[in-house]
Amino acid sequence: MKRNLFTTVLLLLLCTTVLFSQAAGESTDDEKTLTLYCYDTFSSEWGSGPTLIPLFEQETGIKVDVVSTGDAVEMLSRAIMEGEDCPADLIMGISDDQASKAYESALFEPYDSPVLEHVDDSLEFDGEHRLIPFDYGVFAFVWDSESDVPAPRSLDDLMDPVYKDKIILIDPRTSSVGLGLLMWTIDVYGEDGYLDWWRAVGQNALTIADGWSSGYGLFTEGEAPIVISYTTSPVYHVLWEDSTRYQALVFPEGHHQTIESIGMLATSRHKEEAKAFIDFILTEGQAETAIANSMYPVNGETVLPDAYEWAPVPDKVFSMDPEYVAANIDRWTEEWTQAMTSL
Amino acid sequence: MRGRKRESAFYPAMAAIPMVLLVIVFLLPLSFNLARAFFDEDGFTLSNVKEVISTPYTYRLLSFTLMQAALSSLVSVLVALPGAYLYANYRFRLKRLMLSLSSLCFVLPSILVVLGFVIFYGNSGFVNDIWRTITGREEAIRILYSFKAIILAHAFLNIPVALTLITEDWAHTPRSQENASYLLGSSKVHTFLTITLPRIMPTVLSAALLIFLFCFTSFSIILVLGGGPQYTTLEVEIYRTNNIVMDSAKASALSLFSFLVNLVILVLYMAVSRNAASREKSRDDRAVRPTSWKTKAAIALYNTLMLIFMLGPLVSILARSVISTSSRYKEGFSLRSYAELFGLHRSVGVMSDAFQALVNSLVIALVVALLSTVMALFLCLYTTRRRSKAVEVVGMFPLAISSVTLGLGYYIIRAHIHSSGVLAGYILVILAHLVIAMPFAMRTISPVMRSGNPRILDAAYTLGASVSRTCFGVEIPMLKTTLARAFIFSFALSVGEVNATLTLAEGKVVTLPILLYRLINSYNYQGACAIGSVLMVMTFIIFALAQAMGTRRSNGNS
Amino acid sequence: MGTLELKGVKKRYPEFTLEIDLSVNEGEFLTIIGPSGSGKSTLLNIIAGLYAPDEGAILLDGRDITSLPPQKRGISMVFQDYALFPSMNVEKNISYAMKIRKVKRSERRRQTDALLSFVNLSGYNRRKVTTLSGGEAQRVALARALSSDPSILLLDEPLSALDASLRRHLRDEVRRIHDENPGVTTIYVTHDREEAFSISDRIAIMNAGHIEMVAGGEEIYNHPNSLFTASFTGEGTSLPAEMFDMDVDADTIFFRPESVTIPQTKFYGDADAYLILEGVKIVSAEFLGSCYLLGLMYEGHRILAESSFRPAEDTMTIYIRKTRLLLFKDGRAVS
Repeated sequence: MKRNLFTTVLLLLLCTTVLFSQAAGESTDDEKTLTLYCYDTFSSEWGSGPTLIPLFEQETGIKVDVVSTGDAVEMLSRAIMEGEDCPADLIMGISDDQASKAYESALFEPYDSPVLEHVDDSLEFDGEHRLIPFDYGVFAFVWDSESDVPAPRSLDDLMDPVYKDKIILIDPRTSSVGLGLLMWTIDVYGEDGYLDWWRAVGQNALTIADGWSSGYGLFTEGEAPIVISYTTSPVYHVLWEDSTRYQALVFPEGHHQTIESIGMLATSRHKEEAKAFIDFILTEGQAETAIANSMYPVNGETVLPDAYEWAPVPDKVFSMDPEYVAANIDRWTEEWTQAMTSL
Repeated sequence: MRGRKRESAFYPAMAAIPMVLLVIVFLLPLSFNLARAFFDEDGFTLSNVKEVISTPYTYRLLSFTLMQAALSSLVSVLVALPGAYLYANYRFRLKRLMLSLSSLCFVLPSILVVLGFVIFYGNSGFVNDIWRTITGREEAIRILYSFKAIILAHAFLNIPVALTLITEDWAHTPRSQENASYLLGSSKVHTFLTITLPRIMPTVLSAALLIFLFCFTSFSIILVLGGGPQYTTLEVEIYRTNNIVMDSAKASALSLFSFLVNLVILVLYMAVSRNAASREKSRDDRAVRPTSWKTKAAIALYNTLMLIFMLGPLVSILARSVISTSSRYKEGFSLRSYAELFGLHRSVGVMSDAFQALVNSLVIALVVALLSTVMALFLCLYTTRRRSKAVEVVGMFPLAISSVTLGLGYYIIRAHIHSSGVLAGYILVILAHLVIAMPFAMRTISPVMRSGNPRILDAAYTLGASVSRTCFGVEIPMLKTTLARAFIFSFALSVGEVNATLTLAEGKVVTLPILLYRLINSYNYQGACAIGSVLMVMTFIIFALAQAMGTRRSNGNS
Repeated sequence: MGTLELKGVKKRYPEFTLEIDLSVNEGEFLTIIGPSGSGKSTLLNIIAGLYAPDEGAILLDGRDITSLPPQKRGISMVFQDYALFPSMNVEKNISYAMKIRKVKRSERRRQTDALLSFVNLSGYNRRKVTTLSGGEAQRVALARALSSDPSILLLDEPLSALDASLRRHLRDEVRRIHDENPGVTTIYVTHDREEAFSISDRIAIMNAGHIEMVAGGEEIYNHPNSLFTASFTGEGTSLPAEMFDMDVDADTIFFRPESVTIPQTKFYGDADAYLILEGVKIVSAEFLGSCYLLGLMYEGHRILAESSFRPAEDTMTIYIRKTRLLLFKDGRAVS
C-alpha cells in the first residue's frame, strides 16, 4: 500500500514537472504584450498564426499572446462577460453576421486605419470602423467533377429532381455556413420565397449536416457530389493535393458574402500596438491569412498564389446589414425549422 | 449502527475535497449559466423561463428527444442481452478482447464516429461497395441519413455499455436459483423469464437509463446521420439560441429545462442502480467452458456480428488514414499523414506537432485519471458509509449536463480567471476533464463498494485500527481492481475530450482531439483519420491492459 | 420408486477425477460425508442432472436417466444457500413446481398449506422470502423441494449456514420429513460427521473423488475399511505397527480413544488381551462433560485416550484392548 502511494505521488510529481516545463518557456513581459482573442484555427499549425505572429514580433518587437477558443461567438460572449477586466486588446474573427452583437456590446473602439484605402468599400461593413475586415469568403456550392451529375448552374437548378440525394446542405441553426446559405437564399428569393427553395432543395438533400466539418467530410468521402462551402475551397485541394477535382460553382443569381473582421477593444491598454497589429494583418499578413483560412484577402493589392485561379469570382455578391440580421435571425431560423420539419 | 462518533471526522473530510472541487469548477459556473435564464437587461424576470415552458415547440423537441433516446436505449439493451447471456455464462478466448473493443466506441469524439459511419455505411461506403459487388446492382442501400441511422449510431456507442454492465452483474449471480428452478420442472426458457430476468432486471434498467441519458444529449450524430431537421433535439435548440441567435438568457432557460429533465432521469437511474447493487452476489464468476456445439456456434455468431458491427466504422477510420486523395503524392495507399503528423514534414512554429499533442494528451489524461479515481473514491467512501444520497447525486450531476451547456459554463469560468498562461490552460483543462470523468469513476466504484462486506471493516476496528488506517490499509486495497477500472475509464475519457479543452486551453495546450478538430477544419480528412487512429489504438491498448489486469487478479484470487 | 444406481460415473477435473459406483436403496437415507473438495457437491449435481458426467450411467428404478435434463428426472434438491426465489413470496416459491405442472389453483393452495404445516411453517404463505431467518428459509426450501413429489431428494449441506442448536433441531426435522414421506430416497451431503451418524441409514465416505466406504454408521465406525475412513469418522490414534511386535501383516495400527483403559488404581484384566504401553506422558486433558479426552505422548507419538477421571500422575501405563485394534496396510484394512 505504501508502495502504491509512493508510485502515485511520484507519477503526479512527474506530470506536474512536465507541465511546468511547458509553461516555463513563456515570457510575461507585460510592457509590450498584446493579447489577441481569435478562433482556434488561427493558432493551429495549419493556421496563419504560427507564421504571422513570429513575423510580427520580429518586425515590431511587440509580443503577442494569442488566446484562442472555439469560435467567434464564444470569444465575443467571453469578452462581454469579462467586461472591463477583459485582458484582450484585439478580437479577431468576428464575422459581419455577428457584428450587431459586437456593436451592442460597445466593446470596440473605432480605428481609421490608413491601410483601409486599399480595401474595397463594399467590404467595410462597419462604417464606424470598429470592426475592420481582414478577409472575406463567398459561399458557393462545390461540385465533384468526377461525379455523374452535371454541375448545377444556378440556385434554381438545384431544385431539379436529377439532383435527388446528391446535395449536402448545412443546418443554419448550428453552423455559420448554414446560416450563410440561409441568408443567401433570402438575398436571392426574398423573405417570401426563400422557404420554397429550401423545401424543394431539401427534398434533394442527402442530409442537412450540423456543421461544415461534417458536411464537407461527407462530400470528400463521396457521399454526394454537391456541398455548400466557399468559392475558395478548391484552393486547398490545388495547393496541397494537386487536384482540381472539386470545383466551386458561380451562380448568376449572385452569392452571399461573409466578411471576417478584427476589432480593437476600447479597454485596451496597448492601443498603439494593437493598431500596428491590425495594419500588419491588413498588409503583410494578408496572403498567409487568406491561404490559411481558405478565404480572400480584403487588401486588393495582395499577391495570391496561382492556385487562387481555381477560386472563381462571382459577378454578384450580397451582404446583409448586421442590424437587420440580428433583428430577424430568430424568426428566420424558426420559420426555416417549421418549413423543413414538415417536409 | 457502527460507532458514529468514531467516523465523524474522517469520511466527511474525505468527501470535502472533491465536493469543493465540484462546486468551484462545476456547480458555480453551471449556476451562473442557468441563472442567466432569470435575468434580462431589465433585471430579474421569469419571462424567459415562462416562454420556454409555454411554447409547444419546446415540448415537441422534448418528445422527440425522449423518444429517440428511449428507442436507442431499448435497442441497445435488447441487442446486448443475448450477448450478456453468452458472456456471463461461458468462458471463451475472445471474451477479453471483445469487452475491450466495445468500450472503445464510447470514448471517441463524435465527429470521428460520424466519419467512421459515413465511410463504412455511407452510400459510397464499404458496406455498399460489397453490396454492389455481390448483387451487381448500381444502387446503394440507403442506411444513413434516416431515423434508423440515428438508432444505429447510438447503438454502436451504447451496446458496449449495456453489454459490460449486464454481463458483469449476471456473471456474479449464483446459479443455484436457476438450478433449483430446473429441478422443479421449469424449462430453460421459463426459468429465464421467471427467475433470471427478474434477477438481472435492475441492472438492465440501470443500463437502459444510463444510455438514455447519453442519447438525450446527443447532437451531431442526430443531425448528420439523421439527415435533417425533422429529427432535432432540445440540444440543437439550445445551440441555436445561444450561438446563432445569441440570446443567452433564452438559451440558459432552455438549458435549465433540459437540465431538470435530465436530473429526473439521473435520480431514477441512481435509485435503480442502488437497487441493483444490493442484490446478493457471488464472488465467483459463473462462466464455464461451453460444451454443446450449439452454444459454441451461438458464441461465434454473436461475436462475429459484434465485431463487424463495432469494428466496421473503426476500421474505416484506420483505412481512411492511409488513403491519400492527393494527386501530388499519389492516390491510394499512403502513410504520408502519419509522417506529417510525427513531425517529419511541414512542422511549423511554436505550436505543437503531433508528438507534443500526444505527450500532452497522455500527461493530462494520466493526471486526470489519478485525481478522478482518488476523488471518486473519497466521495464514494463517504456516500457508502454515510448513505448520503444528496452528495452522490451532486457527484453524478455532470452526467445530466450536455456538452453545450457545459461549454457555456466553461467559458464563464474562463472569463473569470485572468491568467492566460500555459499553466492556467493545463490546470483548467485538467479540472474540466476531472469533472467530466468523476461521475464515471463513481459509477464504477460505488456499486462494488456498496456490495462489499462491512464486517471486514469492523474486524479491523476491533483490532485497534483507527478509521483512517482501516480505510487506507484495508478498505482501499480491497478495491484495487475496481480502482484500476475507474482509472482506465477516466483516462480514456480525458484522452478523447475536445469541447472543454478547446474552450479552456485557449490554444495554448494542444491535445490529440484538438489536433483532430484542427485537421478537420483545414480540409485534411486523411490527417484527421490518422489522429483518430492514434487515439483509437491508444485507447484500445489501455482498455486491453485493464481487462488483462482484471482477469489476472480474479484468477489469482480464485 | 427411488432406487438409484451410479455405474462407472466418471468426471475429470484438474484436481482429481470423480469415479463413482454407488447403489442407493429405495427409501433409504444416505449421507455422503468427506473433506472439502472431495467432490460431494459435484456428485449431487451429477445425480440431479446439473452437471454431465464424462462417462458412466445413472439409473433410476432401472431406467437410464443419464441423458435426461434436470427438469425431467423427478429429483429434487435443497441447496446450501437455499436458492429461494427472491421475487416471490413463500407461497409462490412452494407452488412454483405445481404451477408448471398445471395444478389447479385450489389444489395448489391445499398442497402448499399441507407442505407448510409439514415443515411447521403454517401461516407463512405471504411472507417475503427475504425476511425469513436461516432456519425458516431452509424449511421453505425443503417444502419447495418436496412440492414436486420427487422420488429422490438431494440435500447439499443444507444446514451448514445455521448455528449449532438450530442445526441439531433441523437435522431431526429433516429425518422426520424423510420418515413421514415414505418412498422418498434421501441423499444428504454434509461435512459434519455427528450429523451423519445421527440421522442416516447408511453413510458414504468420499475422498478425492472416490467413495471409500458405504455402510451403516456402526459398521463404519467400528470396522472402517481404510485408514482414511477410520480417521475421518472419529477421533483415534494411529501408530506404526513396528513399534509393537505383533504377528500381523500390517504397517499401521489404529484405535479409538475409548479403546484405551487407564486404570485408576490397579489393572484388573488379562494382560495378554491388551497391548501395554508404559511410560506414557500426559500432555493435555479436555473435559468433555461425560469424560475426559486425554492427549498422551508415547515414544514421540501422540495418543488420544478417553478416561472417566483425570489422572493424578504425569506418567502412566495404558492398556489397549487388542480386539479393538484396527490394522491397516497401505491404508487398507487387514483383518
